[in-house]
This record gives sequence, structure tokens and C-alpha cells, in this order.
Amino acid sequence: MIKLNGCGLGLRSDFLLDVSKSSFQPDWWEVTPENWMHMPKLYEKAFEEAVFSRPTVAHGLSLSIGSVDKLNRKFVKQIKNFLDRYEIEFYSEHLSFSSLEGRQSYELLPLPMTKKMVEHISNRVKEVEDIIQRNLILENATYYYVPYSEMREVDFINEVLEKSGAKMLLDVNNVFVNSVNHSFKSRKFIDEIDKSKVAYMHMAGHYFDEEANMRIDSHGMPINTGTWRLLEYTLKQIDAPVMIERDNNIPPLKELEKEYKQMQKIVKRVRNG
Amino acid sequence: MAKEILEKDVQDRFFDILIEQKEGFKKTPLGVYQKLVFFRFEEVIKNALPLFLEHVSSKKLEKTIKKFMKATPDTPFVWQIPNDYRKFVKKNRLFENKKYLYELMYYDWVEVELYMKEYKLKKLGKFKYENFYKLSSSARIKKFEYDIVGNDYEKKRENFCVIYYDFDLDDIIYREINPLLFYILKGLNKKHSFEEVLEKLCLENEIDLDEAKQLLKKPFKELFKKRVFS
Repeated sequence: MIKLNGCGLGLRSDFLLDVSKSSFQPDWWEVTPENWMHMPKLYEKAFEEAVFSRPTVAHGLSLSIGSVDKLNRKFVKQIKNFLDRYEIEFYSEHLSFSSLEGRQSYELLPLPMTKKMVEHISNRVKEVEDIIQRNLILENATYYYVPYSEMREVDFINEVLEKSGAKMLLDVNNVFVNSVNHSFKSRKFIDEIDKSKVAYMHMAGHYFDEEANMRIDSHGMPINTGTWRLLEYTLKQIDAPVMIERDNNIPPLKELEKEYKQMQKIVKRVRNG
Repeated sequence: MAKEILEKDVQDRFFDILIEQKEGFKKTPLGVYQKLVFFRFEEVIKNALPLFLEHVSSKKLEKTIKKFMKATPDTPFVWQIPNDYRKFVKKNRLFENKKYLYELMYYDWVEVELYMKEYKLKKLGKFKYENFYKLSSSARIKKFEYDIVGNDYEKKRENFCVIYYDFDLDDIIYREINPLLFYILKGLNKKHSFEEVLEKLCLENEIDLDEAKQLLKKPFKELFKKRVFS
């Protein structure tokens, strides 16, 4: 099990320089390697201070674990160097694909949910783990379209986790968004997911797109009531650390602190019965 | 991955719709992905190229980004997309009626590029004519055809510029320089000493070497101190 306690927050360049001046510090940070592998010199010191002062988890974007391409080993080695340099033990990625034959979409695209894909991902997880010399943690992604499926999402995820040995990053907001967009019960999904595999959890915001008539996982809004309620339900079943992931329309650290404290309150309430 | 034929077909088709836009921008769940990919490109291009953005209509920007999406960049790093876009529009001559935009994009991009580089600073010695130098990774030289540095972008004016990361200010400096200084910086290499490079240029341009040394010593020292060459 991942050695993290309490609640975390995604570290963003938008407020990095305010971190050292602030009295607020989360229990742990999550950082996106692709956004910090190259950074303005101005940020280097503040970034090092932040990640070395708190436990830190890395959460990647461009691994494209489900792509039927050959693995981009050069990129994975860059990830390893980043993890080594900042002494980061945990690395999570998305259960999706984003690149194909060298072309990048920079978006998390849905995978065909098939037995062959389970096998393919399991092999790729092992290949990645061989390079990074750490366990990979996989996150359930949002999807707005199912390209092809032989099974339900929850079964697909459980099989991937079982076959690959990977741990899970359970994104509660993604469960909520997918459940609304694809008409299934979010609580049932939580009930059925393999809880022993959950390493940590994400909370984030989303919005409703009228034209598409769908909820879009934007990470650019405050967390809504429905997602908070689903977190509370999840925490009763899963004893894993949880964090807020905000990537767009990033408010000042003070504002994020309020949302963080709201999350902390829910966690404490559930944990203390 | 020959055995994942179905999976490959599905992923290929997805990319065809998203990136190559074979079926246009749809008002369907697939259209959501088309929009998300477009917005990702648009956002990062807008953030990195603000001056360029002031001179291009949103309609034209959208049209060029959609064309660019078909030529998808291969870098896994989102922040590098604007550079690929810059090269793409230049190669495909998408702004031929406003050629200064190509230079404006360079002007915008070089700031991002120099900011994002990782620098390992060595102890600074003393500038000496007999030493061997080259342009630093923290500096670029550029010959502009338009008056980009003078903020009169549409006006044609050949001018020379050194752009560098100022380690004292933690800022990017754009400095117009004279042609001789430009060609000296351009000619620097580790096979010839600074003096040899200067001497060659003086000979070619019928300039007295001693006079040039005396006249340019101050800017040479200053640029060296700013780590423009090392």
C-alpha cells in the first residue's frame, strides 16, 4: 500500500511561488512530470522546496498505456529520471491512450474494452515497470464514447489490475461523470471495484456541456455536491488517501485551501465514524 | 502488435476522426473529443504566442489550428506544441499576406523556449580574445526582416538581434545589435579563437582589426558577462 497519509493537492505552476509564503501546506503533493521536466529557472528552487518538504506522487499524462504502438521507451526513461531526481516513489497514469504511430492527440482517449486489450495493457505495464523500477498506478479515465467493448468498464478495470499487478488511482469525479453520461449507478461501480488495489483517489470538478448533452471532466470547476457525496460513500469502503486535482481555471491557493479543507472535513468525519 | 487487429482498427479510426477530421467536427460524443483536442491545441498556442495572436483573427487561427491538427506533433510535451505550429504555418505558407507574423511567432516562441531550458551554470572567467567560445544555449541570434524589436511589426526593416536569458534578472532580454556583432556571434566556434573569428570578419568587410577590438570590447565583455557566449 502507498505510504501517504491524509489529503493531497495537485501542485501547479500557477501558485507554486505562493506555496512557501503560505501557512497552508497539504499533507502531500501530486505533480505532473510532463509539466515539470522542463520548467522556468525561476521555478526550480520553489519546486524542489515543495516536493522535498512533503511526500510527493507523480501523475503522468503522455504514457498512452493502451496504445497499440510500440512503447515510447525514451519517454519512459525520461520519466524515470524525473522520479529519481525528485525521489518520487509513486507514479500514476491513465487507463487510456493518447498517441498512435507517433501522433499525439494530447487527450485521454477511450480504449476498446476487450480481453485482448487487457492482455496488451498488462504487458505494457510490465514493460514500463521494468524501466521505471517502480509499480505503476492506473487511473480510471472519463470517456464520452465507447469505441468497442466486450465488457463493462468496472470489469475491464478489475481485470487489468488483476492481470497487470498495477495499483489503482480511483478518480471519484470520473466515476461520477461516467455514470451520468453512460447511465449507470456510480455507487454500484464503487461497490464493485477491487478495493484492495486502490492506492489513492482523485477529486475534481466538471461542467455540463449543453450541446453535447454530457458532463465534461474539465478539472476547471469547484467540486460539485454529487461528487462530494460520492466521495463520502467511497471513503466508507476504501481507506486510501485522497486529493484535489485542479488543472484549469486555477484559483489562488487560498481558494483551493477552502476546497481542500472541505475534503479534509469529510475524510475526518467518515474515518472517525 | 499483430494480434490486436480489432484494437488497432478501433484506435486508427478514432485518430482518423479526431485528428484528421475525416468526418468534420461532429455534434456527437465523438465531436466532444474533436473539440477537446482542438481546445487543447488552441489554449497552448494562445498562451505561448500572445503577440502573434493580436494580429490574427480568431477565424483564421481556428482554420490554421485545424490544419495543423492533421499534421499532429510527436512531442509528448504539450508546451512544445506552439513551436511545431509555428514551423507548420511557415512551411505551409499559411500567412503569406502577413509575412511578419512568422517573425512575430519566433519572437514569442523564443521566450518560452529560453525560459523552459535547464541551465547548468559554470563559473564565469574573464573574457579574452585568444579564448575559444561559442554561442550559449541560453542565447539566440536572429536577423529580422521586419521591425519586430521596434514594435512596428508590419514595417520592413532589416535588423539584428541577440535574445538571451538574463540570469541576474531571471528574464528574457531582446537586444538589437549591429551587423558586425551579429556575424561575430554567428561565427563563434570552438575551433577558432574569438580573435580569429573577428579577424576573418574584419578582413572580409575591410575593417581595421585593432579599431574593431577597441570599439567592440565593451559589448563583447558585457555579452560575455551575460553568458551570451561561453
